Amino acid sequence: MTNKYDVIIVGAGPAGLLAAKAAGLAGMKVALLERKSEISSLERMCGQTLVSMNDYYFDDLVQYNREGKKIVFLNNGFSCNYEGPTQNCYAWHIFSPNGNRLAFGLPEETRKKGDYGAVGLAYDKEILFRCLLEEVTAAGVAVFTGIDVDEVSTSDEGVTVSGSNKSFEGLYAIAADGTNSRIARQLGYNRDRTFYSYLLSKGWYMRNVKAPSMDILMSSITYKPVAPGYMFIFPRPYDDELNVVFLALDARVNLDEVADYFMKENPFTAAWFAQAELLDMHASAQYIFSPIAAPYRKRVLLAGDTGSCQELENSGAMISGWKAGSAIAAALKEDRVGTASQGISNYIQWWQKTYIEKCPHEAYIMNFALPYVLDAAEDFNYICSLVKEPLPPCWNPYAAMNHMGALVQSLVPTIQQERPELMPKLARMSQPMTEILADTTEACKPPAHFD
Amino acid sequence: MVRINTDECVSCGGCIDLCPTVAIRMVDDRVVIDPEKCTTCKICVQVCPLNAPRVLEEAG
Repeated sequence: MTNKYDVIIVGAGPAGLLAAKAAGLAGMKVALLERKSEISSLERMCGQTLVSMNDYYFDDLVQYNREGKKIVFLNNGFSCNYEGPTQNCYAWHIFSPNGNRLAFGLPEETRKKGDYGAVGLAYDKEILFRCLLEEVTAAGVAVFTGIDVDEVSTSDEGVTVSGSNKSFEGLYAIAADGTNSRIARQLGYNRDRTFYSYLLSKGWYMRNVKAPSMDILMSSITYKPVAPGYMFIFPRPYDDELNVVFLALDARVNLDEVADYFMKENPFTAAWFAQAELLDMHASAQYIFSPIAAPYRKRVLLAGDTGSCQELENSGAMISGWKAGSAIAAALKEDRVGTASQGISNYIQWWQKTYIEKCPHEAYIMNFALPYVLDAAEDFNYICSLVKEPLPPCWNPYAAMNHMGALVQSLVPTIQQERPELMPKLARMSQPMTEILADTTEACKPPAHFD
Repeated sequence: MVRINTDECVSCGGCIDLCPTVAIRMVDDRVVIDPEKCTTCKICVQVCPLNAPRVLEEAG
């Protein structure tokens, strides 16, 4: 026997939960399907931060209402409850292999502005999920866990979503099943996308890390023989804890070796980890494709990472989910009223304007591709040594790359004089990402039958 | 075929999405490989950051 819903939402991450909340609040009959049995448990690696608290990001400005315990999206006019601890993040510092610092903001300055000096906000994602689940349930959404969806079939009248020996019928579906979405793949979207690389990560919550600051994002690079490895250290909303993540774009890079490099070999960073206590471990593995240009096909609307390049960050996923849930509610009402449809086309226009045009994915990937351009540790050490002044306080990966581009431009006369051999490398920054990452792309491309 | 070493796996689910034949599933919050569907393409072995998938025998 099947159940009939207005909309079936696949995936109870930030995008799916907000989509369910929006459609549920509009009075639609919503089913939310999740393959885990415990929605709030988090095994996948995540920075667990709201990035970009000090500027517009994906067309919205996020405010944390500390008294009211709400995360508020000021431009899109919605909020969600978060009744857990937070930690402001006051700057982003990138360290070259020898410890030269490229600073997006100085925490000793930004801290003076309190919440309004923060570039990001760290939170506990398991608590956020619990709060969102409460809101979704209160909005009347039927939540089904342990459903690993493996088929979505569509007709002119509706959709049928099946998995784990259950079947759900609806008028529309929202695919919020994340990067490398099985549904997007089934609907044929991947055939039009450009493949770049993997993004693989492994990391731990850690205690007793003696980092330069506990309330900033810190990142660094290592040059492994085949491809670069990265370390990102995120603040945690718990005393003396940090979230330490090791990443690579290339599957030939051994993440254990990357972790060993930063924690034991590199004298600059190894000192931070001498007493480190490793707590919970997390991991993730995903392909990086170019984003999906038109995220609607056959009564299935895509939300969040499902249609994006790599990840939209949590705030981007929440915005997209809210707008997708609202768009489907609008479409349902349009159908019933008999008015001309525009809910879904408005969503697609918004998607194209924000995700595709304002936040070009190659600028995001450039955050990881810089060591592919400056492909020797000494190059990175040298460029960072030239930077005397901090860049603007920023944790918007798109804006950061603009700042970085302007910085490199300003350094060109010095580099031309001191290290002219670096100029051809820097010129590669303006090449297409497929050329910058060509070797990794070739080594990691998915099998032909993945599309 | 490939089997997941449950001691190493934290159920992040990355391999589930990347498996070209949809042979990997989440069952009761654990990652499980369906031996009927596994073609031993070893994508999961290549991508797992924790080295949890183990090749038991090569494809025949």
